[in-house]
Amino acid sequence: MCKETIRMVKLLAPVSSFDSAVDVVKAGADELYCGVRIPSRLKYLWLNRRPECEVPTYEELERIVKYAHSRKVKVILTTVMPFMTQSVEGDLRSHLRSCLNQGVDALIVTDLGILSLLRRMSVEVPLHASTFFAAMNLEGVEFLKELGFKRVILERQLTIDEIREIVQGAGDNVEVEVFFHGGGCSNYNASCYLLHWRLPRLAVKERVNPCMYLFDVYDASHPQAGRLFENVPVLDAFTWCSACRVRQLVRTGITGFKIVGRCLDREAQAFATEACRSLIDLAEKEPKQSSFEEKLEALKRKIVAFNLIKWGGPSLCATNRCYYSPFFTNPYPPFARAVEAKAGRRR
Amino acid sequence: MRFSVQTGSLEKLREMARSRCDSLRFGDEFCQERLPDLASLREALRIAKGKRFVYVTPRVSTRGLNLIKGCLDALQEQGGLGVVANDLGVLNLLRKHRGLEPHLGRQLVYAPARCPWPDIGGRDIASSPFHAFGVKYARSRVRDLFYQTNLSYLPTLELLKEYGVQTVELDWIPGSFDYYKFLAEYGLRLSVHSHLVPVTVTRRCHTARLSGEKSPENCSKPCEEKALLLRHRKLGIDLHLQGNTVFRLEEPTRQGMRELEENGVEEVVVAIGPLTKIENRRDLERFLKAMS
Repeated sequence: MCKETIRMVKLLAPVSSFDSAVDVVKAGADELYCGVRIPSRLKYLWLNRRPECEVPTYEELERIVKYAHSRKVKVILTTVMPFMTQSVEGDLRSHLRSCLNQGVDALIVTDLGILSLLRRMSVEVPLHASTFFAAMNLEGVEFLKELGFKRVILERQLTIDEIREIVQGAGDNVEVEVFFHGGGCSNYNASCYLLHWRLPRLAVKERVNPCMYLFDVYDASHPQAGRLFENVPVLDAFTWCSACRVRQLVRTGITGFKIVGRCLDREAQAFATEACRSLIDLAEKEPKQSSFEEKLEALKRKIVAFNLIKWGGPSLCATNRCYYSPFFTNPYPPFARAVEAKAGRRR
Repeated sequence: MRFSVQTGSLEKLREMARSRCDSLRFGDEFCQERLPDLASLREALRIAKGKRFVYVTPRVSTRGLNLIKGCLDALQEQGGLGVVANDLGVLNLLRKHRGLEPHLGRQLVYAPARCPWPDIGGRDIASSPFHAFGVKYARSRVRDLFYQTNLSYLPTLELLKEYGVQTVELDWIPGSFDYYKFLAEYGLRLSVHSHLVPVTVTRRCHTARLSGEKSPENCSKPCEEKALLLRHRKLGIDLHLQGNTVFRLEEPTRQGMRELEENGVEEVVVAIGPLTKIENRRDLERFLKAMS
């Protein structure tokens, strides 16, 4: 029988400005995380998100840290760059030093090179291993622990049982954190090069991420035979959700939930934090999964209504996208219908 | 230049073992559901007798890692074999299997130039806060970074050396070839994968969903035979989906081969499958002849 372990689960929320930090703290975050725009030539090379998603200046970071600390909330800085080269060492060193001088409490590290640089800088704040390390098993977590990481953020590609096994095997010397909901990404962060910020103009006009594009699909060996599917969201990037599984996740012994959304606006960041706080509180309180799910319904309705007003599309269960569930169970409904129709025609 | 053939099929491996290739690779880089079991691996080893053998592993959860553990134990008995690690957990495991040579897989190498969008150009920069006259300057400032990998940093290489990494797997991205020299000069052996540049690896397999597969354990692996071409009407870029990975194609050339050799690359890896259009021994021999 699986051992249930409950710890006080921390809620880590994204912010991108002082104002959003104030809102998110009021909404119930235990920790904040943010990046800061890197000056120097690195500002031309944003690899995983737009510069507008980051806190604009070191001065603003300082204000965020002071405000958060006055409310006993920690501020964690993400190092933003998912890679490191000899030629940017100086720029990155000075950027990290400037951030550390503002009093951040920990760093989310995205690359082994950045880890090496931080070691050389004799940085004393705790280091967290980003999802860019794609930790998916206990051996991977052990590897990161040995390198000196105090917290590991797991990949989203795991089941509840796999998470439990990792948490129990990792022991008390390393914290394990998981993602709460996903901002429309179906790919491993560490292996995705659909760099949004570098999209050609067309895509910018369409205002969607490249994995949300509608593609015509052909058999690669015989494209001349004609389209198999027309205009389908084959790369399948829509917001993922773990709401129904929060209670189970809390009982795996994880130490925290991370909310995706540095690129969300202030209102959405605060709403996501508030919703997640309510979910965690409910999950910690409810002794049974059935009673948790019953009470969850009211909260789900609130989230669906917010999303509908804000973005106008379906959300949560209507998109059938569950995190931490077995592998193949979530076909996107419109696409699934197209596939079924095709299969029917073949039959 | 040495040529290595990579496949997850015993049948193909048997066929390719009779070709002029220098080494054989067995396993899968991207999907744990396509990992061979121990019996298949033993058979692959038998087939590859007389050629160098490399076991290829993807990023894995605990379930996949347990399978790999058993396979590494079996390989260790043979000794002197290569193992491609695309997962930090597998790399960690390899430290306990001293007789095996860890290759740092492509999923553990961050390479921005795998991006399918056009090279950094005036249009991109012009849409940034920098006005037109700064375009040329801005482009020159980032172009060299874009084509490097996260291995272009000495402390990273030193750290990887502690984990026994002697070989690194890279992509056929011509703009990056010059930066491979740094790695060769450091003493690493370099293997470059021809044709297929992985643009993104999906958490849930789109091919499986498209094919109506219901569970990973019972997946019929339609990706072994089929790949899909994804075409966006306005974008003008073709992407290719095989299994859980989206690729862009880079056709290898003799000129490219020469450049790789000049930069210290020792081996080119050719994947067998519908996307590379190298599906049998005859295709392979034709390719080897064209590239020699």
